[in-house]
Amino acid sequence: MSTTDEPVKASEVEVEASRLVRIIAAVVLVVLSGTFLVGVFDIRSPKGLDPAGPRFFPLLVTGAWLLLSIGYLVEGLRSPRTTEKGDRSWFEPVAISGLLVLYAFLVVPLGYLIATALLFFVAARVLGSRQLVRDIIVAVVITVVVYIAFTQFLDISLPEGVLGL
Amino acid sequence: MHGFGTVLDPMNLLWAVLGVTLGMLVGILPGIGPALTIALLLPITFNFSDPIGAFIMFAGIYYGAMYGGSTTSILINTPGESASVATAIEGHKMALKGRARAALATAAIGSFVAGTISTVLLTFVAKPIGNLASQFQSTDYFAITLLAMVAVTALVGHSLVRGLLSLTVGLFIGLIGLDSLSGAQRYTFGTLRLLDGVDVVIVIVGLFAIGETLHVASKLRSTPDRPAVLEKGRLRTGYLNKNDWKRSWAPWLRGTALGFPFGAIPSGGAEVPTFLSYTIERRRARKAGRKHPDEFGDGAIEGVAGPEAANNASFSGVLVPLLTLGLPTSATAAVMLAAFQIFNVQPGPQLFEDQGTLVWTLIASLYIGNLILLIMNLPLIAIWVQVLKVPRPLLYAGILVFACLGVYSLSGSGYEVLMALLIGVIGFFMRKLDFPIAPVILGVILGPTMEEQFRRSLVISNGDASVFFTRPLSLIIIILTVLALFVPYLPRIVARIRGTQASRDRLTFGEDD
Repeated sequence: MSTTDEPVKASEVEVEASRLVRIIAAVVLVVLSGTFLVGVFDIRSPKGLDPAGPRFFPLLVTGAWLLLSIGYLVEGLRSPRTTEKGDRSWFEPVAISGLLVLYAFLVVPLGYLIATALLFFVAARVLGSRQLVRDIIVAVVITVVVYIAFTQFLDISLPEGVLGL
Repeated sequence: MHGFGTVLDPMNLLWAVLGVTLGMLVGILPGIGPALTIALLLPITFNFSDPIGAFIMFAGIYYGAMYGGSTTSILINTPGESASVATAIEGHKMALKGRARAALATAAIGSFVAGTISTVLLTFVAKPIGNLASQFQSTDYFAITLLAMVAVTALVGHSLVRGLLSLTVGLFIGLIGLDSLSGAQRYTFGTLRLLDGVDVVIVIVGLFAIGETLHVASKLRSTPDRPAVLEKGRLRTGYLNKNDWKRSWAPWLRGTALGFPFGAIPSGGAEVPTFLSYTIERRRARKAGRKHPDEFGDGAIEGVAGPEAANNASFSGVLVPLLTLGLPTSATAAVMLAAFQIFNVQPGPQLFEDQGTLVWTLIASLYIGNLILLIMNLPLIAIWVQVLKVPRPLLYAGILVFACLGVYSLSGSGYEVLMALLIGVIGFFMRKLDFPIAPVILGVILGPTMEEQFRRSLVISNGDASVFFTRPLSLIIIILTVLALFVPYLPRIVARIRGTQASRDRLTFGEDD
């Protein structure tokens, strides 16, 4: 919340992404909402667009979405060209995302212990940690503690995988 | 009032202590809020047979987070929560003079006083409002859910367009799945998995936990690695002396009076009452400047006492509409509503009749939580601050692990993790593009209810749409909703009427609460 005395215009608040990204995002939103709007008519509805039926609300929501997206697109097109701020990097978020995808596929076959310990270690590494031994120890300890706590005390089953524990 | 009996059960006390501890940790660490923590713990609490313990813990987390936030505000001038910003102004000045303990003490005691008083208020106010609410019909429910969504959206974030976009996306996600009233499939894309829709927990964990982690990951190069460390000199003097007490008690009461009603109104959270309290205390001190030296700007204890009390009182205020009407007035409240729904506890007028014990126990636990907060925190300040030394990579790696754990335990397959990741990526872009996150949560949680009430109203009235406007209560609420859209523009409107230049184009509030 801004507490300075300088006037702050809502549309001028610094947005981290560049103008180009904003416009691309707006276009994506327009396309998505439009698609879903058309998809309303795929919904089985004996009463058609009757407000009490299953199509009405989705129609309203996707319709509003489309209108708002167009508004957002216009707003983006009208905004002044900003200079690029180059200190945001894409590598780490993409790496973490890839890591999570791998995790989703590997957690069952490898088992919770191994998969999660790996997840923790690699994630910490990507996020900037450089102390190899410390990270490995923490990764293993946390994973084991969580595993025991959950399977023994909370009775939640976690995949056993390779270790068969 | 046998809620107290249940609360004093040692197991529940344990949950309260655990909650408060977790909350303190979370509040101290910047970037992680109570909403995220409760969201991460939701899947774990699934398996609790008894929801009371879980709720006691959540309440403890919220209180703890509030206090943790003010601790860092005072000690190192980095508010852990947006509601603690007001405290930092005078609180840190006091710390610089070596009076940190006094500041922390007035914050803690003020919070306790405020919490107790406002919980008492809650107890008295709950029943009558509950009775009023039991007269609600479906049109009124529809109108009021609409009001909650619009009001929070309008006040959160910098742009109405983006806020509404967030809201519609949330509403859309809530639509996915089998329509309960007609059995038609909506947006399931032919897969069986989506028949039940997207679990709200996945949305919350994805948006808050994964989205935040991805966002932090992208800013690694540009943010400093370790926050400032506590310096010895700050804890020089002891707790509160007589003069401090004398100066604090009135701000405590005034803060409570501000916090409680503002918490009950749909808004971003505790920011409004805390800043309002700060401004009021400052003005009072200026006026009384002749009698006592005005220390504002240099460490005035009133500037800590008032806002902290307001902060705490607003939480009980939030509980009023949440428990009696099922109406969340902030993002954290929405997460707690989701928690209620998961346990099949539906807040609203029925709640007090069907689940009386649960509710009163919860309220009683608030008293206890407050007390525990007070006892646990004051002596242990130096220890708490050590928490800040946890290296950020490990912290976020841990969050990732917990997020996956929670999401995975929902169904036992990696599919949910992928979905949470997808939503997390959306959350990442939302943060980059300055889209507020709270409206999405509200849309997902309240959307289905709103639609159901809407259609039910129409069925009952046989398709007559005017029913929304003929019933006076619904009409009033709908008018309020429309007005809520304009509230953020109030400064401009007022300035135009006065003919002056507005100092701020639009009111904005944070969404951490």
